[in-house]
Amino acid sequence: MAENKDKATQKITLTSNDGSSIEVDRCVAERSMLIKNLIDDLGDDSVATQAIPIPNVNDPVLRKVVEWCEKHRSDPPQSTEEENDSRKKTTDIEEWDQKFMQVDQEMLFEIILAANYLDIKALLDVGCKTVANMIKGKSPRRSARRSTSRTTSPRGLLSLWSFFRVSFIP
Amino acid sequence: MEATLVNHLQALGPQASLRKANLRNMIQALTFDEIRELKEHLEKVEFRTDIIARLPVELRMLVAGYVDRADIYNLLNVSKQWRRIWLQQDVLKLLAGRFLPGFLKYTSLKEQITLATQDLQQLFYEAARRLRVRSRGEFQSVFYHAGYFEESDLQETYFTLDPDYHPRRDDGQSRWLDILNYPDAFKCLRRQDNFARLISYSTGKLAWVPMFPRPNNSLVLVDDLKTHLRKAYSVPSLALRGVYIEKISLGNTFVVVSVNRTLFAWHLQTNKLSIVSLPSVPERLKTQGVYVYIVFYDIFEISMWKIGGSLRALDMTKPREYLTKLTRLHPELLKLSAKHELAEILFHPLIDTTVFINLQLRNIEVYAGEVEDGMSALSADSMKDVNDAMGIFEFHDGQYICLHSFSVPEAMDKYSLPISRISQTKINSYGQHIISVEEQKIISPDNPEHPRQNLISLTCFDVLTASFSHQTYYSIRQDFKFRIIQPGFWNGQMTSWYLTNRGDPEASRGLMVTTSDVIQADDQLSSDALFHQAKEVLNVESVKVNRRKTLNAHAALREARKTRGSLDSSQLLSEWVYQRGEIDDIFRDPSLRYLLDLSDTKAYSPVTVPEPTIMQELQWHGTVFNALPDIGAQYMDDDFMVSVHDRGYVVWSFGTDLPTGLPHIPDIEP
Repeated sequence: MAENKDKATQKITLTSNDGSSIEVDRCVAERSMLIKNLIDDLGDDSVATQAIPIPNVNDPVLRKVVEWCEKHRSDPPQSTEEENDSRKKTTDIEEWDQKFMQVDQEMLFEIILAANYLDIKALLDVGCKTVANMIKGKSPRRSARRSTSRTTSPRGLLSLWSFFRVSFIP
Repeated sequence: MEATLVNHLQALGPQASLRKANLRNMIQALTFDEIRELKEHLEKVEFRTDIIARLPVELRMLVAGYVDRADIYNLLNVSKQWRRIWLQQDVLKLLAGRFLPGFLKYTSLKEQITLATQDLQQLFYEAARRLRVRSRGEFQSVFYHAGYFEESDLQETYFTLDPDYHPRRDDGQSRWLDILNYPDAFKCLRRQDNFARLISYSTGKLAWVPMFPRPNNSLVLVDDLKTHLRKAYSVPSLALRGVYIEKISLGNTFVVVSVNRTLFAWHLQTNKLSIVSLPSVPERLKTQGVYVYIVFYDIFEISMWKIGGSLRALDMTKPREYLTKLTRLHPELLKLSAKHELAEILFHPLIDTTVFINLQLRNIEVYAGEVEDGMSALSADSMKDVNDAMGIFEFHDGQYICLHSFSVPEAMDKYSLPISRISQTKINSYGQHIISVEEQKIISPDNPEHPRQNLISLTCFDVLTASFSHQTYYSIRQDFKFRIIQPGFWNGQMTSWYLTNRGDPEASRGLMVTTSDVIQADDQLSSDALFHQAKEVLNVESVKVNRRKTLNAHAALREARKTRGSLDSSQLLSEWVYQRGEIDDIFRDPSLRYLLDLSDTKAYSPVTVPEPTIMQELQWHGTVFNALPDIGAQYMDDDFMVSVHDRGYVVWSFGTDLPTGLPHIPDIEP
């Protein structure tokens, strides 16, 4: 039992693609099926001494993902039955997760990709629900505006430009 | 250059509308070179803001799993790019599976049958558009047509009479005018109880019999709601000596009426008349393609008439034999009274020659205590043991092919008897039907908001996959002021009609139409009822089989034929004596697999339906519905929704423009 607990709190180092390292508890890192499988394959010893490279994820995103895993470190694994029952497919998100997902769209996008890459099912679901909530119940114009940038920045104005270019430029 | 442009752009001002106008001015003020440079620059800029379009397709499918019915059409209309990304094959399949059950199966079968490639994306887009129009109540138009001719002016305002075809008298005079001039024609402005009975709808056309005094009741009108053309057909007067048009049925190519023991069928294009005489007075007519199916209750027979050919009685021996075993109804009882049998015809949406007959044997009379003399041998106990039985039997060109399955929803509460109605309501254009409706009154004092509810249970049959499904839901029981009239179902949504302000003489009455999601698309093919039935017949506690979403009946049939040579339902029945533990063998046997299409072992879990949460509301001019107090029938398809009242019909159109003005409606005579 003690051994198990030691294992759970064993420190593991993850290295993002820009080279910075994050030290996390093993049970936190194992929320990611990718890392869990990796640890199982490599064995405990090599993990203790070596950092695990996460080449597809950059530092801020990795930190964000780790933050989520820390919070959800003791969640029970999702039952497959629940997942398949489409009737219960609501887009309700827990309050903490909602706050967690209040990031800019680029970050949300990166989190979803990272969750997919790292194989963290629950985080991926939360991400997809957040995206679905962005488009739910909106008219085409509004969801378009949501997903493209607002017209306040110069770049946004340039995008407005693109509406005109077809008709104005010879 | 870029910097100056940015300056230009920032000078446009903060207000969005102004900025747009300023931008236009700015663009016009730019020199040609500047414009070209700007164009080149814009092409290099990558707009990396649309995160949804950038998601890989498998992740977009995850998102698609969470969008609502109402959102699909919006998603497709954001931009060309979005339409493309949401109509990628896998995403489309996922969305269609969730919101348009049967759509994929229908299109792929249609492709096989017509050998023409279907533009799946376009079809899906169209279907999504209709779904949205219907569920949001964005009807293109609503139109009321009185079933009689207006007193004020004899002019028909909406339909034009087909100049090429309307009946004439021997002297060349139009019989139409003859009828319009008939002095008593307008004495029938009273309630006409049988107006709703003599109306039939099919694919955008309505056939009906105008309510003139009986001796003249020989006209059949076919109104085309799309082309606004009305055709009139006249039953030869010889046939009408003292008898009247009794039943009417409109198919996609023929309109058929019955007068006593004669059937008249007119081809809708060529107007050619075919006549056949029947052995008895028909109870029910159904027409598709060149086939007319006639149900006689009195002589216990179902016949098929291939128009232009001869009449043939369908061989119902095996279906009856099979059902009798299932009901444990005393064979003598069946012989004595044909009232125990009810039949409905379901058509295949793609193959005219294939028809499914829904046969139900009932024991209502036994329960009601109307036991006939010969039945005294049956003890009261044994009668309680008797079940209703229902089976779907496939016929091809009049030949019995096979039994598809059986289903009798068990009474949900053993102390009350459900009112079970056999039905053949189409619930979408992909071959899904409601075959049985049960209603049970529930009183739940612990639910203070709605202490009185109805538990409705629907059994559905999918013609294309030959599978059953079962759906239960609670509906709020009508109260005095707020009466629910006949819910209808289309594409997973329930449409209810509410008559408001009932019993309040001061307020004008109105009609509201509401829709709400009832049938969860994904759950349509769960067959709880079948499981319960199997449990009883096979005497097992639990049956666990893998959920199969689609089952190709035709393939199963072929397979069964190959392995067994022939299909004999009674033989199959006798093989049902399986012991517990060996139950799985049933599902390994391909010929039995479709007999017992069990998919789930879930217990009943009724959906609580939308209390009158009115997703959309059509408040009509109160006076119209003063004139139209009741709905006699309603028809739905992808293009129209028609409610038939006792003095006319109302058409809701989802695509075709109809006139918006309402005709003058005279007050009802007391």
